Amino acid sequence: MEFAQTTAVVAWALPYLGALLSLALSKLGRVRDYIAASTLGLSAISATLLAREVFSGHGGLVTWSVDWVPGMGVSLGVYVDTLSGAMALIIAWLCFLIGVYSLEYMAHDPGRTRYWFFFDFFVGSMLLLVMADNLLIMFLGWEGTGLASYALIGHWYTDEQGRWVGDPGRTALGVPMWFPPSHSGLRALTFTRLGDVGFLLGIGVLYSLTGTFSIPEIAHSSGTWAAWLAARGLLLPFLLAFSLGAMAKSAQFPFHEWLVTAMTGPTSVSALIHAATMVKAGVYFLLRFAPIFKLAEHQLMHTLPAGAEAIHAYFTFITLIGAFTAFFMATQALVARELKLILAFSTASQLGYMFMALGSAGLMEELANGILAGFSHFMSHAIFKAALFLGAGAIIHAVHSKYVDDMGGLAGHMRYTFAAMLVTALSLAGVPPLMGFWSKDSVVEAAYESGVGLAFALGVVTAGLTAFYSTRLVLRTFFYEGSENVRHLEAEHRLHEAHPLMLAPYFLLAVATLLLGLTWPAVGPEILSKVASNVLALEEAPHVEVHLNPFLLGVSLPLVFGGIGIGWFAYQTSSGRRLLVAIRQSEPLSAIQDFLYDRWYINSIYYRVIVGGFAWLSRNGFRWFDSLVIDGFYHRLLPQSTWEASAIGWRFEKGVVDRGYHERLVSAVLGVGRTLRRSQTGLINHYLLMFFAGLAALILAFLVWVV
Amino acid sequence: MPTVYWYLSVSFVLAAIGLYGLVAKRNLIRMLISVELVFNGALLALLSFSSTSAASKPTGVVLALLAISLAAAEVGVVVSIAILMFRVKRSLDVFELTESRG
Amino acid sequence: MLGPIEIFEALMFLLVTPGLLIPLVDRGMREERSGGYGFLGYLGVAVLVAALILTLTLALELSSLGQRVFAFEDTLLFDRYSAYLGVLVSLGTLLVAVASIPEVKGWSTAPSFYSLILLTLAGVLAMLFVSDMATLLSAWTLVAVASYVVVGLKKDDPRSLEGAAKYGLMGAASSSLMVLGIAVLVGLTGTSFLPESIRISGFQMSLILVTLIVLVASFGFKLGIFPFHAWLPDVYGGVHPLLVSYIAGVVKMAAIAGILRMVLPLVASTGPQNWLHVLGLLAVLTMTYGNMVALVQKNVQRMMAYSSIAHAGYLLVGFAAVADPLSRVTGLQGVVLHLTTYVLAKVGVFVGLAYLIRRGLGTTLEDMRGIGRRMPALSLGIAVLLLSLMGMPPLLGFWSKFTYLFLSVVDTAPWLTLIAILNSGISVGYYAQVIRYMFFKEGGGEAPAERASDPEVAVVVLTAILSVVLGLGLAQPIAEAFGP
Repeated sequence: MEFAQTTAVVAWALPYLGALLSLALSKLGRVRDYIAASTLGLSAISATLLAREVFSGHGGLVTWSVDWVPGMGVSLGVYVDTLSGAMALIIAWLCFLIGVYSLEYMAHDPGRTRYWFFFDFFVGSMLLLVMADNLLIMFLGWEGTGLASYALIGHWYTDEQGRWVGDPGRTALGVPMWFPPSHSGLRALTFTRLGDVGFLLGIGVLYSLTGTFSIPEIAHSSGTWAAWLAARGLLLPFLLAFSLGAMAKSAQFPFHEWLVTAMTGPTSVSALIHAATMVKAGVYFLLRFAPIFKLAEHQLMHTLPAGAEAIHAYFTFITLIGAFTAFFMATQALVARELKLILAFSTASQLGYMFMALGSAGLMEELANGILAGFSHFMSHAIFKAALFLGAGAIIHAVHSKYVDDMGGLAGHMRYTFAAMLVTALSLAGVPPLMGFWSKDSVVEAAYESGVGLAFALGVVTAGLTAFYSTRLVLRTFFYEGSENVRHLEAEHRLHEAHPLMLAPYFLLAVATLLLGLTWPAVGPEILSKVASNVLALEEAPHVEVHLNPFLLGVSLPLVFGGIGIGWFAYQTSSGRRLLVAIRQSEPLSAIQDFLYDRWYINSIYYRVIVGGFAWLSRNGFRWFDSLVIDGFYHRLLPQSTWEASAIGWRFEKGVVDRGYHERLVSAVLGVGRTLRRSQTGLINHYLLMFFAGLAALILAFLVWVV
Repeated sequence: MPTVYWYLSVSFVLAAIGLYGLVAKRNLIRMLISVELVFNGALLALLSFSSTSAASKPTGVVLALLAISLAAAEVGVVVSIAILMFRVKRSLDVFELTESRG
Repeated sequence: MLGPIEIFEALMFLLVTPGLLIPLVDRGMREERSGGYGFLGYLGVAVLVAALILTLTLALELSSLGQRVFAFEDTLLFDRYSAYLGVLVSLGTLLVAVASIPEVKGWSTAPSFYSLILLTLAGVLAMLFVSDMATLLSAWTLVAVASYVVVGLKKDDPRSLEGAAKYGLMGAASSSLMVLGIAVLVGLTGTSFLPESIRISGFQMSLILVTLIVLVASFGFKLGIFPFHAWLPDVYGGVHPLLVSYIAGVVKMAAIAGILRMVLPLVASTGPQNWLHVLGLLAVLTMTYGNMVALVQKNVQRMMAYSSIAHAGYLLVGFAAVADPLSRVTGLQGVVLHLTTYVLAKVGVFVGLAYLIRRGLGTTLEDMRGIGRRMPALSLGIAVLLLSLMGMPPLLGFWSKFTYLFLSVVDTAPWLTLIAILNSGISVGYYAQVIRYMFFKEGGGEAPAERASDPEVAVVVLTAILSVVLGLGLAQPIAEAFGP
């Protein structure tokens, strides 16, 4: 193996080794923690060397492959082009920084062995996913991250009340809205697994059409398989199914729910999974495959226009889903009371931006610009969101509470944290000249060029919402007169800045977002053109420049500053606070707040409609199922506009009726099993009857069929 | 109607009676007798089928003899299980054998 | 140079002689020795080790020979596919015997136990190589009868008795069906030689189809195919797990052998689509039923019984693939891999459950709470085996599922693949429950710790390791070396 290949393999393999070491050396305690974190550091260094190799020599590509199961065409290998090289680099360093943070953050946790094992395992899987040269290995990494996320989100599986997300006792539409870690882990796994079914289906279809799992080969033959599918009208369904995994992993609507409750995990895990890596896997999927689909579109344009249209529709769909998710999640961030929940909603919202950018890429003239917009937002979001999460962890640790209500006035006590979070929150809001501004601007521009007006509008409005909730976050945490909790801690002199091992990572990240932003006009085009210089299926090396469209600026910047302004008004001025109190006291407005707080009741709808609907299916057949769904949706959607009149009476009525449904919630699927189970009566005569009657039925059935 | 079909009908009737006994009787020994009936029905079918051609006649007869002794062994073992049951439960009612279910 | 025939003779002699002599020896020494019948266990293990070596030799020889060998006036047929299955059953029996040593030595029926497992193994091995109806019937009856007794060996346990009665009665009924199947075939072919193919026409095609259905019912009874499965949950779920591990892992192979030798060769004459539909229907019914009812079980042993039913369903998918010549080879390869996974996993899991009982715990989910702490090796082994059954890469179970689902029927019957994948997904629900209770639940603080000296633990760990190792790259070589 040459040097470049070694660096690639070491980058993903070393964390796996670290995971095993975490288990084997568990008796070493703290030393083991350092060893585990060091493997991540070494892996990051390896990724850096790899990036150097990819970008300087080797024509922008490093590959390596070894046959695993030759007869089935399965091999283990990497395909590192400029795109995956850049992503691996960013991911590896972020994971390392978060690992350093974890050294101190998890120092007294009794489950450290599990933690480090799954942490390193996760990093290895993520890097493998990004560098994989074939779909099976990519899927392996994909599932590895899923497994690790299940374990890490449910890390505190003993479910002490302090670890829950949500308010215990609060229900929405009869469905409980508090989630302990073990339940959250299950939700994460279930939602993403649902998407993975589509992913796997897509892999299977591609394999049967092309005979290979290799991504480069699939890319080069894209015209062929796309034509085959398009000729049967299957191209759009295939693309959608194939992307389901990415949508679920990146918490796009309707799979977004798991990300919210995943906050039950330790904050370092939230930073790792929701800022730096796992949710970005879906983004990587689109980054990797959008050029391939676009290539197929070009090839079908003249030979099979219906196919090209299908691909076009697909990109439009992605754009809209992204835009909607961005907007939808931002509305929920407005009213969240837990610090980490605000960040969680924000993450899903920003992921929506990335999807919107990548969907738009397929609709724009110059695909590469959209890809780069998505990539730059990925990079910038990973940096500032990781910093925000890590800082949030430090804050929560300092005030011993996850609620923003228990914070306030911390600016004086935690200066460096304040500085770091202020910078990164402003970056999130999209304030120039920070990095977040440049990347968001390129995303919005991509949306504009896509021609999907609705997406552009949603994107712009969301920018304003983002600015508002970022301001709210900063103000309520650091300004706002201190809450009782904070005053209490102040009096006991227990408020102090975070430990250096925790502070350094997010402080560094804040500096990075600042520097990157300041130098972006000069440095940006360099970086971006290098990243795009050799990407699989990306045909022309584009002309990259960082420019600002005055019209777009004129639309978005006022919204950003307006959002900040309104936030300042609401939370820092007395008249603003009176307004907030008035909102809380007004029936209709507070009902809207509840609606947003309970996540547009989507979660409740899932638990009641999907799970409850199954029960109806097994008992009453499809007609009943149909009417219940339609009816149900009508009864949920309708109040959104006629809330005032029916609010009180409606809630009471549903409260009584709901309880009945809620009981069936869990027994839905189990009900089928229990019913079937009754055939085992224990009586051998019945068994014999089943035997012979079944045999007779089988024979008769086939005689009738055949004859 | 060729003779074969007569024999086949008889074997079918035997088997049906045996099946009825298996399903409708509670006593383990009665069920065993019913199993024997079913088996005999099958045996008769074997002999009928093998009688259709000259080549298969001896084969069929030999197989039938073999099958009889094997079935005897099988049922013998089940009888010993029935004896054990009687020793333990003082009854041969299969309704008592319903501890495992569901 | 020992040819396959000589090896086979040696095997029979090796297994049958101690098998018949052990009960005689026991009559001669009536007084209970201190420690009971421990020495029998060691004797049994020694014989089985030799048997394993012999079957391995046989398999390797046939694999390198590359062709089939007829013997004893064409009543036996040796090929590498069946020889490999023979290795599996020998291994399974050996593992059960090793695991049985501490438990069975206190039983009054210990001599019967060791004698019967040797005789049953002889019967299964014979069954694997039959090519004549008389031999088949004899071998089948040997296996059946011995297994009825094995189920009832724990004389003080009423559920053992119940299992034996149900199994025995239903088994006797299904044996008659086999005679019926034989009847038709003799009538059609004129000889007792198991036909490799039949040339028939028109009406006879439906007759063959009906006969095959009857034979599938007869063999499928032992496998646990719906609707012939009803005895299985009661027997697997109620009888002592050590006995179940033998029945589930080893005795099943006799039924597989029967299907391989008697049923599959005739498939071509029924018209490929019909076969696919019949087996497809049975497969769907079986796996869905198995998985759905497993979900609501609280007793892990019974849950594993239903899981066996579900796995029989998956197996049928592999058999269904035989219909189409394109998918035939991969279908049978998938069956081989699946049987490997299955024998390892079921023997391992049930032995693990037997260990829990011996140490004083029960086998419900509640009893298994938190035992991951006190019995880490055992729990980890069981967890790996369950993951293998679930089809988690890179364990062997994944490769076997992949082969017979994706590679075989996906072209000819994609709906079957889809349903099978969905069922695999459903199965995660209950396997994960067990793992969850073992590792992620509080409790089990007072559970006894495992001891390294207990052979059951070693057996579980060994099967788990094999599932991992074979999954890491040996799946393909095995399928090719011993495939059809």
